[in-house]
Amino acid sequence: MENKAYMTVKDANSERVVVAFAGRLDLDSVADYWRRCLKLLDLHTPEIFAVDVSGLSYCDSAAIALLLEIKKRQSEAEREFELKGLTARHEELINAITNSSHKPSDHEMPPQEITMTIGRIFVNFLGNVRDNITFVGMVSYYLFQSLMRPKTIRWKDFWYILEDVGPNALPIIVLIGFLVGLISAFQSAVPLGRFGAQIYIINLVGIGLVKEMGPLMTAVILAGRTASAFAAEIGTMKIDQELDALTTMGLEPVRFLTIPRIMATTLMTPLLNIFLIFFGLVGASLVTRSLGYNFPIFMHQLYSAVPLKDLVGGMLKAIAFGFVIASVGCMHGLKTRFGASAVGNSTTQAVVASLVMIVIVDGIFATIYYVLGV
Amino acid sequence: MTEEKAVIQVRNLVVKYDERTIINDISFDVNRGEIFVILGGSGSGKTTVMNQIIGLQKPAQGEICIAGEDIVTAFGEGRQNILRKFGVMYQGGALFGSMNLIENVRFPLEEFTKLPIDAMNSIAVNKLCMVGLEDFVTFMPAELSGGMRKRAAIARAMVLDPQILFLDEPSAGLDPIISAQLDKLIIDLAAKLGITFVVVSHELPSINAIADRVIMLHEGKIAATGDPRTLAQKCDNVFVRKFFARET
Repeated sequence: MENKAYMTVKDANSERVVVAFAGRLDLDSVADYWRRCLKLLDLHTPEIFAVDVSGLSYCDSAAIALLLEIKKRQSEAEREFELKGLTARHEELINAITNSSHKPSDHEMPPQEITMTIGRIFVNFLGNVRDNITFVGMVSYYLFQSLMRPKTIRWKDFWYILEDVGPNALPIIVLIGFLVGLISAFQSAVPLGRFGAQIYIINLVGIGLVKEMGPLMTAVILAGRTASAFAAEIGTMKIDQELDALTTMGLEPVRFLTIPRIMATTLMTPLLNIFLIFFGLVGASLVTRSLGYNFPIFMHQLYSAVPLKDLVGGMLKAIAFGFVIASVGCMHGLKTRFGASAVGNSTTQAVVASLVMIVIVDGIFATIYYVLGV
Repeated sequence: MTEEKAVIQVRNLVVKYDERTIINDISFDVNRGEIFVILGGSGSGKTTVMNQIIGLQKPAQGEICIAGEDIVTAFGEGRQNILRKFGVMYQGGALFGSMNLIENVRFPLEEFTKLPIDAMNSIAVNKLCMVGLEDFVTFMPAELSGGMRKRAAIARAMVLDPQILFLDEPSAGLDPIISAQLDKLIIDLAAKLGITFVVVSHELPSINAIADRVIMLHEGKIAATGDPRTLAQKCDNVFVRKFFARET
């Protein structure tokens, strides 16, 4: 059987274009001839465009689509189209395609004006702002209500989430903390060594970890680990109609799902922060020990360099980060739409939004601490 | 007389998504104790109507009364009271994936009663017995077949002894034998417990087996209403006749 298609142009002028197809015209071979036929149409704008298909051994719906496209263009230009050599099989195919109730070629997308697109983006933005404000209001209300009436909290869920957010995250927190302390100490050893001030590695790493790096690294890890998990879990529940089931049982999903998660994360983030700081200092102490400063010197220098108010300031930041991470994760889970990629999109958005919010909240804290002189 | 019998009254319901009208001014009653089917082709708005009745979505216009109380305007305690009057089985079951079967069925009892855990377990096992799942109480939803998940969802929907059960596409995705078992279960529960069933479906064999009365939706309107077994012969609507004759 012939596997190729051939097209012969028998006549080409403004009066008449005649082309003949032979061989196997299918999805694989039609692309070239599609371009050539449309080029002939544009070039000659013939009164009659005739296609002879008597030489075809096989044609599929792609080939029929080409014939119909030429016919459509000729018809739109009020010119003629002739088709010769049709077999019964070709006619069946043409009938099957033209009798279909769906005619995508007739359907044109409305033009997308730039002003409409900008307007739509702005309206979506306002809608998102409204949703976020509504969500913050609902969470605040339900959190207050739950703290006033602790019996309404699902403690079983709370303890489960607490374990997942806290102890289960400990290995990665310990590893990152240790490495951050170790690397910071190493990196600062050379420049400080030039001034004979290697003892101040302890000040640098201590203050850096307690005030900034500890809460920030803990929050970044939780944004990647916890916010994404919350968004994925709640998003999957939404797609499986579990949230609808809760609603028709008379249980508000925002209260039911977000409050235990926000409480658990807000409680666990400062504790994880302590672990990250501790193991960061362990890493730094190993470096300073190798530089000749033993453990008592390390501790003495640390106590003198890092006041308690810095630790308290860092812990307050960690609490705020925990609240933000859990809220953003839950919110994006609840906003999950339907479709195969919906949960993935929610998870990505939760992580990105958490990171952005962490930086914003960190900036707010930095400003407040600067004004207060902390 | 009809007003007394009606446990659900839908009046002049209009549903719009953006500017598109999905349901256009429909009214119907569901009588106490009957198996009522909302029938229609794919995309005809069957589930949309059910979602309006159970309060998941707000209509653009209209009144929906459940046991005499309007769910559209109700809020707070009043809305909770209406929600307690019915249970819902969603198309996929909507069982909570993190809970086993008995925990799923027990869940509404935990939230709305102060029963001791033994009593709650006992009630939950009784409900699971009624749907033939007493041997699967510790199974997780992911370990069950589609039909079993639907039966478990019916058990959960029944656990607070509601007056009305809403079932969304109970036969969808099930083989004919399991589907027939589920139909029998619905008929038995309606007969034994006197529960009113509102079923959303387009599976004709199942509808013929269970329905006392149907409404058929087409292009946002009620195209026909009555007994499904005689509807095709009595109705003049071409779409209804084609639907029952499975013609294109």
